[in-house]
Formats: sequence, C-alpha cells, structure tokens
Amino acid sequence: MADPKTYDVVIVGAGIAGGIIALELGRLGKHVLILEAGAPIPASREQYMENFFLSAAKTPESPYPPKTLAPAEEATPRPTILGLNNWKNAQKSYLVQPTPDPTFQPKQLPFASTYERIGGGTTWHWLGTSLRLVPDDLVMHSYYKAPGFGPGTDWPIEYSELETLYGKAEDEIGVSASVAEQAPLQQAIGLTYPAGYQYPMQAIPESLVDEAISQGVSGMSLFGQPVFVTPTPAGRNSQPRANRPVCAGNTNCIPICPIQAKYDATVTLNAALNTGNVDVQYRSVVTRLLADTQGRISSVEYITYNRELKPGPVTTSQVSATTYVLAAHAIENPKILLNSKSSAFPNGLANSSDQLGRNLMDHVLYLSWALMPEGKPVFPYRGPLSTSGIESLRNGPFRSQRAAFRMEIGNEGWNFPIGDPYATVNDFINGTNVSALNPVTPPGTPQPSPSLKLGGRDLVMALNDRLTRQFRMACLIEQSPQAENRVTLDPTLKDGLGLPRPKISYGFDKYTLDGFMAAKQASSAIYQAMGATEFTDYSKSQSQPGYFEYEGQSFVFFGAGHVMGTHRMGSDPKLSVVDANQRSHDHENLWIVGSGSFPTVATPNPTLTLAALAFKTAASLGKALTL
Amino acid sequence: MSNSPTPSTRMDQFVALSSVLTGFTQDTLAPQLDPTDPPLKKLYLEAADKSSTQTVDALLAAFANLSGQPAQTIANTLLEVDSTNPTANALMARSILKLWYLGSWYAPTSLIATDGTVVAMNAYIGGLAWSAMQAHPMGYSELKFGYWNSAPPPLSGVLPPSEANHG
Repeated sequence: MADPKTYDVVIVGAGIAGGIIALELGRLGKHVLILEAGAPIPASREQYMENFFLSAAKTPESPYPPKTLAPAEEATPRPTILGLNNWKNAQKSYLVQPTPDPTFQPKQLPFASTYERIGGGTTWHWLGTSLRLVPDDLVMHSYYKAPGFGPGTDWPIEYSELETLYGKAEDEIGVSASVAEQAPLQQAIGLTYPAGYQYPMQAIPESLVDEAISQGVSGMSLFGQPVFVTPTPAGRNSQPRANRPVCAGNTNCIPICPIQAKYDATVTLNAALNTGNVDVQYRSVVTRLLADTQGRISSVEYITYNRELKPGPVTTSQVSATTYVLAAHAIENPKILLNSKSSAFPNGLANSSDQLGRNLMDHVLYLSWALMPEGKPVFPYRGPLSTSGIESLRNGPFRSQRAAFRMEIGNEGWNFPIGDPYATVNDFINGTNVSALNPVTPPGTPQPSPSLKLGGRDLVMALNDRLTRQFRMACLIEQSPQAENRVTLDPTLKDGLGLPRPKISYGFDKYTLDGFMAAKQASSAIYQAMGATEFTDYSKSQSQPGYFEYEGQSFVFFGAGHVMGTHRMGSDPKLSVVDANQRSHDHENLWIVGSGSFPTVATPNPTLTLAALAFKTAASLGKALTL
Repeated sequence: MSNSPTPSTRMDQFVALSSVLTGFTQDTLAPQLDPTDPPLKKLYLEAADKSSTQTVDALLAAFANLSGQPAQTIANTLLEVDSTNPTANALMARSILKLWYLGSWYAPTSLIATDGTVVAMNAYIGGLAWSAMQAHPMGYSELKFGYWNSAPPPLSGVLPPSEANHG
C-alpha cells in the first residue's frame, strides 16, 4: 500500500497470539498496527528483576508495573494475586468478583487467575509448559458425552490439522522435548506425532524430585490408567537458540526468567517489528470497536495516556484498517466487545449467539505437598520450576463421569504451598509451627517439649534436613464449560480511564468437583506409594480466597493462570462466537483470538494451543487480505 | 571463629556475632573482598541500629562476655532458645538472624513469616536460607544447564568445622 499509515490489520494486544499474527502477516508484506494497552517492552529486564527482588510477596505480578491496588485509579489495572487476596473488596480487586453464596460453597467463588497488561503479555510469567492436546480432548461432547459438555463444545478442527499447527508453534516458541520420551503417552492417552517429527531442541533434564516420584509410582495404576512420570515439553532453551541462552535453572520461570532462557512473546514481537511492516503503539487502551450498518468493523477507538496511576487528561482516537484482531486475552476481549454495544448491536459486538463472555474456565488447581523420608533428600529449589509431570491420567473412560487432570511436579519445595523458605526459617527461629515441620513434641521425643527455637549450626542442620526433603504436586483439573460462569461489565465500577470493569460470575459443577476429588485421591496415593509424609492441610484455610467445602471436607483451589472459553469457537454460529479460524461469525473482518476461543479446556496449559491457533488465524487473515 | 580474639571495631563485633548466630563462617557473611556493594554487614547493622542502637550495643556486650565458649552455646544463650519469654536482646538477635537468612528485616516482635521487608536486592540474593538447603536464591542461579539432575555439593563447604564438643 502506498500510504504507510493505511493498515491492513489492527491487532489489539501485544502478547503471544497478537505477536504471531503480526509476525506472519508482516512477513507477507501486510501492514500491521498493534495497539498495546500497557507499558512498552523494557530495553532490558533489569528493572523488572529489581522489582521482583525487592518485593516482599514474590507473586506472579510482582516484577511488572503497576504495583498498586487501586483499580479505579489505574489506566491498565489487571487481576493480581494481591487483588485476589482482597477479592471481596472491589476497591482493591480489579475483577468485580461474585458475592459468596453461603448456601452452596462451590458456587459464587472468586475467579483466581491473573494476567498482565504489558508488552509481551502474560508470557512474561508463563511456566513454559508446552503440552499438546490429545485427539479425545476435542470431542468431549460427541465422544465422551460428558455432563455439562453440550452441543457446541466439540472443537471445529481436525486433530491432524492441529498437529501441523503445533509444529509451527513449537518452532516459534522453541520447545525442548524428546518425542521418544513422550512415546509412552500414545498408548496411555492417545498422544501421537506425525511420522519423523522432532522437537526443535533436546529435552530438559529431569530433576531429582522427578526421579524420586518416578521411582515411587513404578508399577502403579489409578482409575484404570497407568501412572508414570513424563518429562514436560517446555518453551525454554536446552541449547542456545534465537539469540537466547540455555536455561540455568533459576527456579523462577514464574514470576520472571532472569535470563530469557524461557520464551516470552517479546521474542515474537521483536521479530514482527523487524519485518518492517509492523508498528506497535503502547499505552493505547482500546475502548470499543465501531461497526457499520452491514456489521463490518469500521474502526477501533482507543485512549492514549501518559501516566499509569491517576492518568489525568487523556486522548481518545480512532484508527481504521481492512481487518481487525482482538488479542487482548480472554477477559479483556469480551470486555471490549461488550463495551462496543450500540443500538444496532444492543448485546455488544460478536454476540448474536449470546455466548460472548460465557463459559469462563480455568484449570482448577489442586495443590498438595509432602516430605520425603529422613535421609532421602530430593534437593528442591533447584532447576526450572517444573521439569516433569504425570500426564497418563489426562484421558480415559472416566471422562464421561468426571473431570480429567494432569499432575505438575514442582521443583520449588514448599514455596507455593506455604511460602517457603520464609515460613520454615521463621518457625525454627521463633519456635512457631506454621510450616507443620516444627511441631510441639516432635516424633521420637520422649518428653513433652515445645517447638524448637534454634540458631547456629543447629539451625543450619534442622533447615537443611527439612527443606531438602520438600516437594509438591499441582493437579490441573479440566473445568467444564458452564454458561453461567461468565464475564459481564460492571454497571457502575470503572477503571482509571473510565472504562467499565469486568464483573465475574464463577463456580464449579459436580463434574469438575469430582475431578478435584479424584486429583486429591491420586496425589495422596502417590505420596503413600513413595513412603513420603503428606502435609497437605486446608482445615485452617478459611481466610484463603479459594477456600470451599465439598462433601464435608475443606479445600482450597488455586487458579492456574489459564483464562479460557469466553469467545468459544464452533461451527454453529448460534452456539459459538468465532469459527475454526477464530473469525467472528457476526463480523466478517473481525478475528477474536487466544485461549478465549477454546470451547473446552482439557488439561494442557493453554499457551501452545493458542499459539497454534494463532498460526491458523494468520493464514486465514492472509488469505482474506489477498482476495 | 568464636575462639578468635575480641574483634576490634563494632562492625567486626557484629560480623563475629552474626557468624555465631547463623552458623556460617565470617568469610561467608563478609568476605575480605566483598562483591556486594554496599556490603550486607553494613546494611544489616544499619537495619538493626535503626530498630534500636541501644539493644544492639547491649547484645554486642553480652556477646563479648561469652567469649571463649563454644559457638553453639553462645548462639543458644543469646537467642534464649529455651525461653518462653525472651528479652529484648534475644528478640534483636533473632531479627538479625532472620536478616542473614532471608535478607528481610522483621521487627523484633514479629512472629509472622510474611511480615518481612526486603532490605536490598543483594540482601535477598545473599540469604543464607538458600545455602542452608544447598540451593540458590530463586531468580539468581550462577549454575549451569542441567545441574538440577545431580546432587549439590556438600553443605560443609560453607560452614565452620564442627566443634568437637558439640553434640
């Protein structure tokens, strides 16, 4: 095109999905503008690292701006763990969370996952886990006839096509794994690869924790499935690649990889910018899309601001292009579309199905932890946060009755469960027992005695003994799609730019909860088989945001950081928001991309699959722009 | 290290005290050529003084009076490990101990693990808790790819030799 300011595509959101589409179209010579709501990609990650080091609570969001808990005063507020801890207070929590329902605990729970609004998006603190879906994951309705998985929940895409797309996504991300090591999953859960396929880089070595669990579950089976440990395909370098170093095992993938051995979307964004055909504009918050009378999107309205906190006077502008892509993640995408309502589209844009914002899902996370027997350290707090998992329980006939799950093995001791090493160090200095590792009258003590208070070499030895035997597992449970789990716009609460904030309705059905119970059962069975002592205890966790009771027991669930389902894809426009290319059924020049397009979520961490789908979208957009 | 002659400066006394409280060698806490700027010993003495110079002085005096005793005995005495009603000196000693282990300042009255304030970037990185578990600070590894597949080097490298009379 002659005028460089005439864009073929405007992409909203500079994360991995928007980045891949920009890169692919930039390579085709298309002119692309990316509007990113948040801060630019910093010249180096040192400032983010300093934020992390100095944060008392090293939460996923801790390295990233802004660091306030004032959603009404921020230009780009987002859900955070600190916000979640204040979920009942909408003055501190960006998401307007449900009012708890005391009559039935698993309903009206807070949505517990978070995301970032900065250049590079939430991949700044993704774990790097790059698991593929298996073929049965695409057909929960037609094959498993699982309760809650009605018509409209089968994926409108053949697995053979997805397989090809996975290859592209694994190349872009740079996934380290060995097909040979994944091979036992073919018989167990139906995972296959095209003949001769190899991952871009060799596998990441397993940790000593992985090896201990692997030995412990040898020969074990559960729910009619074999139980075994598989090294996890990971978006982190096992060899120098793409001008990035090999992983040095910083044990910090979340909140931030200090050396960018782990892929993040800034890699793809920079490649997109290097095509010379892609522009990115930061601190540009899209407020709404405008549609003409035929339903074609005619422009994007956005606000630019200078200050994150108390932005003050701002500028509102519009930009037009031939096509539009919403890649702002699964809560911001529906937020923008719902905020685009007009007399012609009273329910918002892309919402003739009434599915927009519905079916909000996560991988419900069940966390458990245990201690190896005395004298058998596994030396945690070393290596990437996770290097292996138990994937063999991700599929099986039980899925017609209850949710499946995967089990992620953690290499960071009890950091996630109890905030160690802080809790245990404090316990052995103070003589307290928050960790449960410093009980009154420890086992083997002949006389009643208080919890230990230690210093000097005694303290070193006690801490070394306890901390080197810690490990944990996290089960990521497949949540079923529920129409009432949804994102709407709060009628009154606004952000610092005056935009309505997302209002959440969220809870679990029996299918999901029974999967949660099976996850608990499996975790305990594995600890027992290993001879490890389980310390999981939620009986005193009433004040935690994810606390609930089910079948007379106390539980806490966590968010996996996987926000999905709010603009699901399908072949039937009456039941879905986008088609298999993530193109809106209602607006022919609009694509809505990301994990919001997943009609069901199965068990794998979603980034690899949403990246694969972004390649499909880029191809479909490229074709549409050439016609 | 506890048997070394009475240190000359207040800072030297603080480092000697810190070594006894933590169980780590003085050279681990405050190397001759300290790569950390400002040195942790300086940051930590300042943090303790900010809380109460008077208590720090009292603690250093109590430490000097115990000179010649085994390190573990001195640590147990100053930390009052058998007391259910610790003195201000003991609470200060515990705060200093937490500083070295976690790089965070905890008010002497605090019993809550999440109450700490990170004193400096290098304080987090220099936390002894990571060494005590034969690991590295989360977010700061100087190790090589794949190290996590083997057991770490033994703990003995960072500790003073065990004392013969220590049970």
